[in-house]
Amino acid sequence: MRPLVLGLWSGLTFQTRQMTRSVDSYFALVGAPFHTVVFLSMVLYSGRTDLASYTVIAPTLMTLWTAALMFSGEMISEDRENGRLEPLVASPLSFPALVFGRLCGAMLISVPAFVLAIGVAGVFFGHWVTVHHPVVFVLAAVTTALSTAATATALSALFIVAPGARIVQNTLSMPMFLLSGVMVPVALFPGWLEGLSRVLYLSWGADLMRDALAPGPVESAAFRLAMVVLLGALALAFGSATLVRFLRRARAEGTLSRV
Amino acid sequence: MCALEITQLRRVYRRRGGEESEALRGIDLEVTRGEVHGLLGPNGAGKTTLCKIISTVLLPTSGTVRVLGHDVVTDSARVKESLGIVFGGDKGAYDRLTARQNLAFWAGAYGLTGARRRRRVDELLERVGLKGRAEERVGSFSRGMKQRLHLARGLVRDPGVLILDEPTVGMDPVAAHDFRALVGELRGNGTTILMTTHDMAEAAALSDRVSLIDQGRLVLTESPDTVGRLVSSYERVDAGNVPDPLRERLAAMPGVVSVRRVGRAVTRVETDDPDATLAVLRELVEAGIGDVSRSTPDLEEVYLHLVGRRGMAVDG
Repeated sequence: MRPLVLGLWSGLTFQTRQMTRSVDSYFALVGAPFHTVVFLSMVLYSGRTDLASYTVIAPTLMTLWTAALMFSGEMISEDRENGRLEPLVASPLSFPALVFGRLCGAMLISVPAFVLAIGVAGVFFGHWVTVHHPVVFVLAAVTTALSTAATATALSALFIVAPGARIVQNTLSMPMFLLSGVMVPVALFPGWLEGLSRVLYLSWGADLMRDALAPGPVESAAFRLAMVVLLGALALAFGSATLVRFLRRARAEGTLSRV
Repeated sequence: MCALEITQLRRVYRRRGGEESEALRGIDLEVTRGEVHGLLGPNGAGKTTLCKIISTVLLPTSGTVRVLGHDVVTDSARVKESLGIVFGGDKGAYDRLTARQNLAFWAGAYGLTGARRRRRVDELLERVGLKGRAEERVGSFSRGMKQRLHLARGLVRDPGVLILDEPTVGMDPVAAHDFRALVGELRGNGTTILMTTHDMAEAAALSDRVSLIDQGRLVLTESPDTVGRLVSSYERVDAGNVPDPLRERLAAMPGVVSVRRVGRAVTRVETDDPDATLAVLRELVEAGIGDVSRSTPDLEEVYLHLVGRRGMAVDG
């Protein structure tokens, strides 16, 4: 238990500190205001002002996923290239927990993304978002961010086990945005596609966050939160097992420090 | 009691194409608690491989390694708790963070929190001479300063056993002197240290015992005094303008280890027997060679005798 706590806490505190010192950690934020402008313009042009609140959720979740892809692709490789992987593995902390902790820290980037999206919608379009179900919204946002970190842990394991996968890293964004209903609500998809999207934690998280902004009651909030957590936990279990297997193989082959 | 017990340790690397290279070939070594043990060897001898196996970052092919009684393979969690590691080179730090932040991260990784962590970080920064640069980004540090930081990282948990892999590479003479003083302090505190180095003088000055490793085998493990006696058993005679026929006669004499040119006109004759040295001197004087001097080789030359002269060749 101690290695897990050490890894998680060290990773979280380290990443937040690291992010205050490196501007490039915030590259994922650049798209948020522009996406808000595009989505909100489309919604207002088509006269669907009832969907206006949705347009601040999309840029927030897109930033979250972009950051997840960015950090999961770089984190372990950078440690390996800079001679840090061996001392990290030789320390008492759990390495998968460290990676997950760092990615949880990286997910804090969604907070300024949300603020930016709300600000753009309010200042430039006069549309100020109201959160009608704040408790559900906060719970949905936190569990979605944690599940994104968990999924990014699985991706980081995948990228380190199969370095070739990093080539397609950037192409993973658009399918994820579409399938998870971040840009278009899943309920508007054809039936077969909706079934597929329900395998993704982000579709549950995005729907729940949008519903929390609407004035009507939020149906089955506990079940939907549980689905976000369950799918995130599965991704974390896969990522941790893959990382442990990678470390074992690298220690056996002597390739831990080899890039 | 043993701090480090290494038994029949072998490590084989498999390269692409199936070719195998044996980095460690049945190493047996015991290091007692509180001992400072120097491990000497050329590049590719197996020093770093041995350190990595002890540090749990590399698995042995066969054999066992125990750190304070804990097996590095089956009980690696306990080994990690009691081990401090300083790998060589200037890599290994987070360049965008300050020295203090780096150390705070590693102290956290070893379970220190709150005021205890802050105190320990302050102590270590002071101890390795980085207190005045504690708030600067490590990316701006020289190689020697990064080495000091690595040393501090290895000490965050007050380890029972400290592995130092080429710790003074890149340090300036003043920093290297401070490092030696620090090792002396750690020895006084009862820390067991295994230190790899190329520097014979450093190994002799700091170590209770010295092991010479070559091509994955331990050539010898002795105290620096014994190694010193070994040094004194070798002698060398330098002579100017020795003609080739005389060089050939000298090379054939019993007790002569080698005859080689060390300068344009200087021939060096190395012996492993004082009687042979006298015979060589007599032969040179009788041949009319007046430019003759006699001396003992340093540890490095003895080391070269033991492991052979392979020049810059690195073992595969």
